[in-house]
Amino acid sequence: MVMESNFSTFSRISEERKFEGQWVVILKDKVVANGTAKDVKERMNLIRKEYPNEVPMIAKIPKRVLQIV
Amino acid sequence: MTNLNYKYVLERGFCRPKIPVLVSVEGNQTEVMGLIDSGSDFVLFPKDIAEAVGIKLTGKEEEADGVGGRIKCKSGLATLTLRRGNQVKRLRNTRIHVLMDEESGIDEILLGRNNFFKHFKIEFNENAKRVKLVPTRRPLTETQ
Repeated sequence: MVMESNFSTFSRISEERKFEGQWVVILKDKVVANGTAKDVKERMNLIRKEYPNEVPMIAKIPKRVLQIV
Repeated sequence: MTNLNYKYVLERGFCRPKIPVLVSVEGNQTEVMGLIDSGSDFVLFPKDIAEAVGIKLTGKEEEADGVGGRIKCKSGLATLTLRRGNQVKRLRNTRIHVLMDEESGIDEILLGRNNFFKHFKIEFNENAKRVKLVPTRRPLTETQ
């Protein structure tokens, strides 16, 4: 299920400069990993082992620039 | 089922139609934030993020044109679940295209037309900064 608390945390940190340009993993209201997509991938196995019953959220926090995709 | 309504997400000064989606692959569940992108032909994940959520790349290699030029993609399957309050829409066996080039210039999860838009009538309201997804009874013809 979609975790409302993860979304609330994402909404809060998406305006913060701290994680700008990074991928983050949010779990239980906290950022438990951040960095490049590769960094996040490498941390995910550990996170799943440590929190087997939780659903983590992965999100990109964009830089403060116009986006064209 | 009724509509799924979302406010745009405010990201470093810009409002964007990004929504939470639960990705399920062989028992692994991961929530991701995906950008609803009518300019993308497919649902697209960067390679490392696809691997982080457990997507197995079973499709053949394809080429696509992106903002950074020609890019290589592979694909795999996952179940995508959207939930808003007590409304749930599950998209089973959704084909996810995966960007194989790290230098593609695309570093986001994109919810594109094939395999995502076809399940909904999607209304963007830029003035209100809201997006409404109206589930269709039956998706349009599968093209991929």
